[in-house]
Amino acid sequence: MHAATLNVQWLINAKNAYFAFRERARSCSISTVLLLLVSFMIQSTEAQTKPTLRVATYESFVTEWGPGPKLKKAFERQCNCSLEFSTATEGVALLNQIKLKGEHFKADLVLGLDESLISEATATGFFQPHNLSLPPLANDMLWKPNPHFVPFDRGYFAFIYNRTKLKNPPTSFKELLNHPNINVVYPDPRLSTVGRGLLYWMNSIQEQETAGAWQSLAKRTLTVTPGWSESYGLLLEGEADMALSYHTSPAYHQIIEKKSDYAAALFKEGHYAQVEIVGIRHNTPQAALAKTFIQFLLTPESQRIIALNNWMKPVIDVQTHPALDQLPPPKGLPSFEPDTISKQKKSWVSDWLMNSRR
Amino acid sequence: MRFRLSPHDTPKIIAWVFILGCFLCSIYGLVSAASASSHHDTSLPWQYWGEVFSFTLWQAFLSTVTSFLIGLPLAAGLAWRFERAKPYLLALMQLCFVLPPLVIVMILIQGLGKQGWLNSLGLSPYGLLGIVLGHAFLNAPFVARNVIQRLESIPRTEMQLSQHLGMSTFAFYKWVGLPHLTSTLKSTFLFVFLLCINSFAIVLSLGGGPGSTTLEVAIYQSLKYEFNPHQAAWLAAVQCITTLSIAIIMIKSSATHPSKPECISLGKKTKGIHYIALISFLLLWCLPLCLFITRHLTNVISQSFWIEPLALSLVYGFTVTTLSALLCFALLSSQRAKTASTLIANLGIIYPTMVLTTGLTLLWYRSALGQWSPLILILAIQSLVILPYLYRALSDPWDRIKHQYGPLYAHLNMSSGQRLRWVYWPLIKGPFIGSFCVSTVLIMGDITVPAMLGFEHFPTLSVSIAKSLGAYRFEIAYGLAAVQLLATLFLFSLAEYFGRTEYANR
Amino acid sequence: MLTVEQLIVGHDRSAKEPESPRFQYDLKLEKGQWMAISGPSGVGKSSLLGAIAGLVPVESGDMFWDSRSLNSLPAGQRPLAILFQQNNLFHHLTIAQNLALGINPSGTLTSSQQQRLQDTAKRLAIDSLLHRKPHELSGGQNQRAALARALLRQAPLLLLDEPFNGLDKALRLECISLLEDINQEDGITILMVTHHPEELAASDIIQAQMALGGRLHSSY
Repeated sequence: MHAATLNVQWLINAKNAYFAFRERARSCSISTVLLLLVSFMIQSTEAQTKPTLRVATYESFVTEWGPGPKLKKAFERQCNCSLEFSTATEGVALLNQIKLKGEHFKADLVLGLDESLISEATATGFFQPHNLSLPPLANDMLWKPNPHFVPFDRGYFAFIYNRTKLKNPPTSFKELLNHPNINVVYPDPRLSTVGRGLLYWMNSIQEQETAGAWQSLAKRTLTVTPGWSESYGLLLEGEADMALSYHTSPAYHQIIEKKSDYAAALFKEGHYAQVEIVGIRHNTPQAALAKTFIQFLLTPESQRIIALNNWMKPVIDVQTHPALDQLPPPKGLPSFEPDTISKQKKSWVSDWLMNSRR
Repeated sequence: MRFRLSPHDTPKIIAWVFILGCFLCSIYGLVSAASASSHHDTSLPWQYWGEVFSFTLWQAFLSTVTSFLIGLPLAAGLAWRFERAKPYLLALMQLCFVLPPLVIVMILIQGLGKQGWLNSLGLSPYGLLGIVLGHAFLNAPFVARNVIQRLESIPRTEMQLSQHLGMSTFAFYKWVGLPHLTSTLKSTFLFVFLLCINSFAIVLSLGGGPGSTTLEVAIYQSLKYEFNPHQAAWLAAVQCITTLSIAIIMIKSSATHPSKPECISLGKKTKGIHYIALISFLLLWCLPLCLFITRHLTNVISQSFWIEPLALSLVYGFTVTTLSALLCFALLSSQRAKTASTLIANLGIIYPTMVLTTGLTLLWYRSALGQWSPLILILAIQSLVILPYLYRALSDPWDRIKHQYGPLYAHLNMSSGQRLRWVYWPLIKGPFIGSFCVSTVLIMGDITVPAMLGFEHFPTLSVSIAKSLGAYRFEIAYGLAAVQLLATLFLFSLAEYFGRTEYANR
Repeated sequence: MLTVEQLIVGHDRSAKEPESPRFQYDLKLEKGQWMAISGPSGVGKSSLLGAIAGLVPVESGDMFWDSRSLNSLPAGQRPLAILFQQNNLFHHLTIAQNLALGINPSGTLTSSQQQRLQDTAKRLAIDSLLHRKPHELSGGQNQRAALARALLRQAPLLLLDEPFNGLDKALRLECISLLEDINQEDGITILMVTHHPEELAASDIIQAQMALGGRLHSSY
């Protein structure tokens, strides 16, 4: 009898303990979830021993195939710091994010705007003068020194074609415009950096007579795509004869795919260059580190990494890979002044728009 | 007494405040940015914008008509037939709803490009024809699906009567089918019309250039590169007025009393012609898809890098859809101001996504919230974007349950929780899981919001595809797209399977 | 005693006709009595039952059960049970679950409630059908199940809105004799709407005719 009461008492105790445990477990798990959520939302603000350099760039720069990871490794080896990337879809999106987020844009350094965006980017007030003395740039580069920005790679816009399918590519823009049976694809100048490049290229060749040229190009055009990748995809699929890209694109196929099918058509009139630039945030606490990084970007080692992973030309004279170094050099056209671009851009776009409708 | 608030209204009021708050904030964000940059003027003539406006409506009209021309015969052929294969057929047909533009283009040009049949007719798959075909590709199955569901819910006795009277197929549709279908046809037509007005990826990829610009694309263009909120704001206003008026007509026309569907399997005779129609449909519609999958899946299947983005896509899609479903149920929870609730639920397709995202992002980063990760913002935006789909799928069954059992559960004194447990959940489970899968797929495939807010917050498959494309890795991108296609196919099959059990249980 | 005084009911707002009629009701029914209302359709028979059950909104007037006002009670708390013309059972739930929800809307029963459920089911001869779903049963079995649930609510007042409409005559008579038992043995007050007043043979049933506008003319 006594034993039985004891048993019951024990049972009740156990039951209470169990409920208490369950209660605690529940509150524990709730608080864990809350903690996780909070830590998910707040950027980690814990004190770090090493300084961190936050670099904002475009997405393809930091993919596993891009130069980002390799540069990070090399730079962290020598700087006793850590490098952190954040990304936007492409160069223009970077600038838009700065406009959109303002001071909340988390970056000490912005890498991947291009020359044509300089005046717009400067106008945001987001950047500070770099005050760096740069190493001598490549001979064929037509770069006008800028107080805020430093170039880190470049490429000429060009139409790429498949050698096995197109035996006699046009040798001038004029020939392309009048060619009876070639179709081209290019990205929309309103949506893509490469497409915008075509706008500059055309205006730099034609100067006054763009309307007729756009109308002729519209007759050659299979389609205008939203981005570079759709255009280039159509070329690879064999749907289009030529796609607008960079004159360095064939090097990718040669080096990675060991295929020499693709080549850039070089035009007599010359080619417009895209120069990609890097700039430092105006109020960054890591200004010194940012400058070290920019100087690091211009070393031969980094230039080689960028060229062979971003598929662009280096901005200093350096040997990279024979396939890239030996690409036939296009004739360069002088770039527009940043001010000219910001003044003319709108009318260039509407000029293209009004003359390219079929 | 009619205006007294009851505790039953609380969830609905919270949902109203949340949804309207988001949209109003986005309008405020955009307008304040626009007024700050008012020196932006458009150098394009008014005539151009007139053409954009009329092209928007014209392509949407043509696309909707084409979708119906294909969808209706399809529905007539599939209704009451192929009981077992039907869910999977419908799932297969809906696949392309959510593909990245590049993949849609690749699939379409396999059928329609240089080597395709369209080219041999001397037609180009780009431009108006491409847009119309692309929209038909997406929406015809949607039309077919709606019509089939309505047809199959015609009361058994009417079906038997029409058989007894020896009605021909034509007479059947004239006297029995059409009267039942009228309201479904009207609201589906307007819904598809709205979708086509707001369509983005298809117009962008198949439009073929500046000749075919719609309002939605023009808004994207003015924000993406120019960052011209001024232009975007007034374009958005024009689009909103257009879509809002259509949406109001749609809601008015579909405000009929819900009827009770009955499960019937009449076992209509499947004739040879039905098989021929089905097979030719499969060849034209689904073969390009299957070719694409088989051609590219081998690129990635032996590696493992697709597993993580796939898993994250699913988690991400589930989270957003859950949030959206909560909003949806809150909106449905009370009968009060029903028309307004329907309108609010549909704001996601009335108001351009791009503008919603930009407006909210502007406001977010200009407030103290800006230092926080925009995760909450992203979840909110995406859940508002899919809310119209969920609401459309759930409001009908919900009203039907309410109509059928409302007096009974009120009489039995069941609390909200008890109603949910015993009445609503068992009956709405099927359509809910179904639309849940579809919404998850829509979120997985979205690229508009990620493109605006930066990729690092979106570890999803679509973003991985965009990333590999940017790095010349076309084969990998196609492989990932094939994985996404398969995942989508799986989710759609689930959706169809569960969507059907509702009727099976009766 | 059920008292209805100058009760004014507007027609259902969701109905399509904008100019829908209003009804005015006056009614007294002693405890244990059974009143059968008949009359042409559209005169407001169903609206009367709906208003008493709290399912149709009332514009003005009063309703009492004994001395207790019904007007302010929510539908689920009024001392009555109602059988509709249709949709009396949840079609996706078993008969047992349907009955259980009548006793406790949470669906969970104590063992004594469980016993009561079994007893009532036996009384209405549906105890072998408890695990089935409504669509597996005949119309008569379904109506007996609905009646069982009404009884399980142990309400002193039972409202019946043409509940046996879909049944054939033999089944209707069977159900009516069940109701007679309930009325006599349990002393439950019954107010019913019917299209077949002639089938109600029992002498103590109050037969009432409803005319346009809701006016009742009773005749023993």
